Amino acid sequence: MAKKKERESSRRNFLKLGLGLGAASVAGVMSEKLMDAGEVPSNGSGEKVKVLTTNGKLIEIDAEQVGLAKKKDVYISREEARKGIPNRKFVMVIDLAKCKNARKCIEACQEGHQLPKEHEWMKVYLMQDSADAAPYWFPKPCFHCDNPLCASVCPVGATYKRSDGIVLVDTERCIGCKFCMTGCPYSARVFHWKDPEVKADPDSQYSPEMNIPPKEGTVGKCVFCPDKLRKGELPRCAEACPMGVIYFGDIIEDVVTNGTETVRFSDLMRERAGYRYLENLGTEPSVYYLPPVARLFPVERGYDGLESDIKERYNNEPFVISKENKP
Amino acid sequence: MIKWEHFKLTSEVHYMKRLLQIGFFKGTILALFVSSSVFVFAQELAVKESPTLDFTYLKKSDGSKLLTVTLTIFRNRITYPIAGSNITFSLGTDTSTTVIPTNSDGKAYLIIQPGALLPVNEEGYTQCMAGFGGNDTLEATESAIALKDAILKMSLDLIDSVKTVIVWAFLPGTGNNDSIPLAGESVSVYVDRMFSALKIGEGSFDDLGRFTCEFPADLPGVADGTVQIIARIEENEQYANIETVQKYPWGVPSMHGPTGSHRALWTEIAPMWMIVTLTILLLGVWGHYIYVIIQLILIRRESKKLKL
Amino acid sequence: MNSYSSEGLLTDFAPQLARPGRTWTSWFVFFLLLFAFGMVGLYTQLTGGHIVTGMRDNVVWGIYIVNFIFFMGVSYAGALISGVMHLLKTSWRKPVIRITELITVVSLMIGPVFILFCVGRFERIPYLIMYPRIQSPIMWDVIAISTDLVGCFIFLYLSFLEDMALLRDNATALKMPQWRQKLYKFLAMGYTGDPVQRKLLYTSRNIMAAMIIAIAIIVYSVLAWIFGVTLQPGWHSTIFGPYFVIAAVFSGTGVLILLMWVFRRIYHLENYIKRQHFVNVGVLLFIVGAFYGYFTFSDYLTKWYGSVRMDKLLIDKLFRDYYWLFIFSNYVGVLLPMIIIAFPRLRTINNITFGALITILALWVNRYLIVVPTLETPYLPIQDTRLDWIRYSGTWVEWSLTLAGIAVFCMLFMIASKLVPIIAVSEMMEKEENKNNDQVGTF
Repeated sequence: MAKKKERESSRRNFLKLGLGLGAASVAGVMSEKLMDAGEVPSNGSGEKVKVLTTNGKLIEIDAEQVGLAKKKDVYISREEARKGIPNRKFVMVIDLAKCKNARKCIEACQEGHQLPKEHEWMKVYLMQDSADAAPYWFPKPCFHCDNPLCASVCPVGATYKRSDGIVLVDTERCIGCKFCMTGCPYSARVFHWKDPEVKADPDSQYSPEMNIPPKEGTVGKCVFCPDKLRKGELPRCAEACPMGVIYFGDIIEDVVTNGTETVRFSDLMRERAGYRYLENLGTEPSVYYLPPVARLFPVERGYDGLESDIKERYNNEPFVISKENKP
Repeated sequence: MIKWEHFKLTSEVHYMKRLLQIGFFKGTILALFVSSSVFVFAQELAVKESPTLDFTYLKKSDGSKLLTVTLTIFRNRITYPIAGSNITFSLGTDTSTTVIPTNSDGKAYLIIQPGALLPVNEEGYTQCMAGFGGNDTLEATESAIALKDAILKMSLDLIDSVKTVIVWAFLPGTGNNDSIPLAGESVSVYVDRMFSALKIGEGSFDDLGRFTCEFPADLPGVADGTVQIIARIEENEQYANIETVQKYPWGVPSMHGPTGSHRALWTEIAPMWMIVTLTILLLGVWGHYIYVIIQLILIRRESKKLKL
Repeated sequence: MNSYSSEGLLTDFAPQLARPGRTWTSWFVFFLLLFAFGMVGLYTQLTGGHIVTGMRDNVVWGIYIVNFIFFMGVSYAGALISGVMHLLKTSWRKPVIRITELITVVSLMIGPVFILFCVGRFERIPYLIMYPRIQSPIMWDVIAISTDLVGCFIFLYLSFLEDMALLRDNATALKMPQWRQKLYKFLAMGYTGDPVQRKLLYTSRNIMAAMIIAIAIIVYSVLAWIFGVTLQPGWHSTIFGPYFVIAAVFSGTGVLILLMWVFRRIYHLENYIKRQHFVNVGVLLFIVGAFYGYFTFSDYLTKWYGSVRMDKLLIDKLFRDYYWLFIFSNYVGVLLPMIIIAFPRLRTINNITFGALITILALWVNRYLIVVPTLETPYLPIQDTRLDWIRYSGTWVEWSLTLAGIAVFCMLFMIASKLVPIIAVSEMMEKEENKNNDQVGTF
């Protein structure tokens, strides 16, 4: 009565498993690989794994030895957070042809960082470059520019760019002058105008890599989830996107992935004509976009299931107005 | 598992028979009571959720075999892991080999060391089963894999100055000479990256059980150019998953970003010319201030001189 | 012994320095009430968070920053005018130079306080000294303001010194209370008009006057560059440095005229601050106003003519949402004072003062139109439904603190005018000693 394993388990599911296993193939290789990325999770959990030995006995060994230990969060202090994950430079590619404003990226980000609902570190705009151009949904995180004006103008060094390309905000040092917000041409930053009323977890200490809990009178923005990157996981928005719109990777490795697809970054740029938004401002963003050619869905699908107050946001866009004026 | 329910239902049938013997009135009351309890029981039956048990097998590069069970439940469009539930593993036999509880991610692992013998049936398959016994809220479920052992090997050579990956697979036999090749099975070759693995080749083994693919000449590696190359047989009907991994310095040594001594507008330390200019300006202005204050002190001294 | 003994001058100025009368006290109480209203607003902000202001994620700088720029502008204008007048040794400067110097210092004390209101975590302001980053224009501004503050106080003190000596020598004659006698004695630093001392003092003053001019220009340009170095449409303009300086002098001159009128009335200084003074300062207003109008026109003309999309959006917004304010600030505010001063028939003291008042208001609006509309037109469109996130409008908290700032300005002037003569007595006497013409010089 042996039932064959359901082959319908989605390829994605398998790959998720397979990726995890592949990366954890051999213990020695695993820890070496992680050392490249700069850290080995010190697992004091004592998790054990059963092993069937050659003489048919069952013994137990540490899960960590075979790379099967649950990846733990490492606390990164404020000083430590100023140095990036060694030998990495992160890049994100957003495929505008696939985005249909599902907004799962926004929800995952808000949940992961304990943000109030009106704070969006990842925003989705409805853009139309000119009257006859095609409208498209435009997810916009912080671009983590290589020439960040926000970091240049911060008077106390509360926002800084690290060696791995990530720009962080240290809300313990931020004085709330909001100069960085006027410095950023991409409106990437939000300000906590009132007490967010989020209880700080008494066990956890503040780290700029997570930037929780939000603090009144300071600035917040997308952080590229370095806490997840250290565990070898994709940022929350990339993981949550049901369409696989967001690709993320290390530009030095020249590979980006959206969880299902893994492609070479240089190939993707060349074949799909990737570009950066407002390139001529010279800020050198780390987020690339793939133009909305051969869209997976029509733009109107972006309205499906939207709450009315979110739908209303786009009312002033020429695309929406022209649709409403059509007979 | 259904047997127990069967037993209960047949007992109700017995009850019904007795009712007719007892008497109609009492029987009606009894019938109502029994049917309501059956009804309530049926409700309870309907409330039990059915979890998903995912059972995979991977033969790793060092020859050890990893069996992974993931127990999850799909509720409100979100998948939740089920922790702390006992999974019964049976390897090639009907009796349970071991029972392992799932961890907080809903996973249970069993590693079989290389060289550990597993019972094989007539066709050469090992029947592996993993089962979850169910509890008050969850139904029982199980999954099985029938697999054959196979060996996967990889070698990395420079052929005609082209970096080539050669993979070959065969059934375990008495030696290389009379081992049976796995002709026609599909295989993929990957390069390990930070979040995932990049596929660089895909195909099937030829009649000799070999597969060749080219390694890209311009793929970056770590600082000294080392890359980790993985060859995998995936989701094979007979052999499930087999992989072999090797590290080799075939990548382009990668350069990293600016070092700490880099100075720009956005770095922590300002460019030297900025510091110099500012210092000169400030010294100039404050120097004058100090001079003026000295003048004021001199005025006061003058007045003291005049008083004397 | 060279002590001053012109009782004539002193008796004229004595009433100013006498104990505060009923009018003084009632005005002071009025300003104190305005200040208290501002404190209520401040308390609301401290307890409720910055959400009680009108600032939101797009318009992150509002009325507080406008006030900051305005007061700093007035201050630097005072510094510039007093420095220039001092160096050029224009004879008609004497009655007005003290007011100018006081404007410099009083505004300088009020302006930076608005930064404390605007900053999200004001208790971390010391971080500006503990963790400075000199690549930041705000850090340039902090260094510049502190340098300017010290310089202006030194300059003010240098010009007070002689008057202090005079008051110290005549304290008993003027029936001053003991504490004031002691105060003047301490502040006079033993100055007796001795040639050696005089030389020391005058060289210092000349040095400081020259420095103050340079510092004032640089410091206000630095403030302008806080806006100029960003990429925001409307701010990223090469003209911002000189433009802000000219606008500052324009507003400062207006404040000077207004204060001249006020003190002339309340202290009956008709013999000292004459119509010609108003006309002279008015001509200064005219010239600076012409430059200001020219710079404004140049800035907007180049924005409007070029086809850059963000500039076009900004100009559209100015003429659609801010139309009347724009007209008032850049047309009425420039042309009205100029017309008043251009025509001899219109050049009366009251008219000129009215023109100055319009100038002050127009320049405040000008700062508002620089700060707010740009922030309402960012590169990425504001796609929001909440009206206060799309358009900025100041709340009562911000207005209350603005009123408090004005009230403090007036209060500080009232206190200063009680402690020192509002006209530089020693300078006036110097004039008499040199037996200059009693006529006031003209341009």
